[in-house]
Amino acid sequence: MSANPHSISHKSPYSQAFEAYLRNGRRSGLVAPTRRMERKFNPYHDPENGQFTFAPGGQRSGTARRSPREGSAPADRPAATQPRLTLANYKPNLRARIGGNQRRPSYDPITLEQTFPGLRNAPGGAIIALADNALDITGPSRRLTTELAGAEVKSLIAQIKQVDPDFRYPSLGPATTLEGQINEIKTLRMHRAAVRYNKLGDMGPLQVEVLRQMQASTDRAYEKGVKLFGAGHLRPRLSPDEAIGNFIDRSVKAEMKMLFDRYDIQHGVGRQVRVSGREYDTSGTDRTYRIPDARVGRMAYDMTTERKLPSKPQIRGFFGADFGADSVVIVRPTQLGRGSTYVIKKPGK
Amino acid sequence: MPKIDDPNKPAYFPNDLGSIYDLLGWMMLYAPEFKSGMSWAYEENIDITFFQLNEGLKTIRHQLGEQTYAQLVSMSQQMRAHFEADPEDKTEDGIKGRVLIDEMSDILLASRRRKAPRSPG
Repeated sequence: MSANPHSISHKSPYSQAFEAYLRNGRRSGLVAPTRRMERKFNPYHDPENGQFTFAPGGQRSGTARRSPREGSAPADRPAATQPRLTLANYKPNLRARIGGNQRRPSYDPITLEQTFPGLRNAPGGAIIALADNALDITGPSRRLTTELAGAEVKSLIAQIKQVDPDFRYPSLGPATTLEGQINEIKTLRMHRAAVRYNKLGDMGPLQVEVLRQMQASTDRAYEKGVKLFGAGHLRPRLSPDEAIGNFIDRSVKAEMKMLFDRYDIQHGVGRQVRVSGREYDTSGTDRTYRIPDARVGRMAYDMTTERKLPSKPQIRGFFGADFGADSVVIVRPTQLGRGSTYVIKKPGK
Repeated sequence: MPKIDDPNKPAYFPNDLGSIYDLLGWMMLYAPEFKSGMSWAYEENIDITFFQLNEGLKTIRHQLGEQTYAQLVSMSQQMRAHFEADPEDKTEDGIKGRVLIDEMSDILLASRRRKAPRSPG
């Protein structure tokens, strides 16, 4: 239906001027009043350069671990010849909703690309660090209340039942503390990942949960290892790092096997999930192999205390193995500083 | 799949030499309580840990040979006695228990070098 050319326009002179500009490219000279400009408050600043960002990290966001004056961790200042370490740019969606008008209660990434935003479009060989608190239940925004956590528990149970209608959550009753609820959420997320993997073959949530569990396991083991080494209880090998790293490595692998057993996730030779298994590269004349600490599908995980780069033969070996690694996640103790855990995208991808 | 906390689900124990070696590494860090505090691992204690170790040793008994197996079982019993005698990790018993973990680990590594089994992953 065409508009009546004789009808009286209710548009403001500024709208009419803008429409005229779109039609003929001529400016009328009218200037829109500033009082009508839409404004919004953005509390996030990049501590490195002071510019506005979408992610927490600035001093006013309350999530910065230190001020820019205190300097950057070594990982933030790589040598010119080394690949640049990029901190994941987490973008919380403050308008996200779950059902009705309820605000999304927690940060719930279900793929590693959500855990390392920017991974999908990153160039081959890129190194992307995990955002601060990205593996916490609250995520970088750190918003969670008892009420919202309760809603998250219900939502997770519903999601699991959608895939496994026989699922019964054997809780003695709802957790009454936030800490108890957070533990419930962690357990249910792991169960959701296991159900989705076992019933649907969906590896995305399991890749995230394996990272979350490995990180927690690594952090606890590192804390214990440092204490024991300080007390003289760990037999020194070549260096303190090696002594501590050796026990962390064994401890984390033992826990990953216990975890997979607990959630009935089959792992081993010929499976998509493996812990410390040989991954062969049969492309050359001589068959070679590398042993990632864990693997879920085409994602390899390596627990270490040292910083490993794509040029390291071990990492190149993971990418060259027959399972066709897309990325390698380097899991390091959070205590080592910002950007300690990162993902390396397959070079040339 | 089994439900969470399914009482009929058998307890986990390692079933190859490498996994027992890793379990000993875990025991070194979390002795004498043997509690890592992971959110899903709420039934950890000294009984379950030594059940895992001893059942694991049984599964590789043939690989180890009778003499080595008997030696490792004996060391496991001594280790448990030391850790039970020092629940707060403040006396010589805790240190002796950890020395036994190192010694058992060395024996397992030596066995692995002899047999060179493949890790099942």
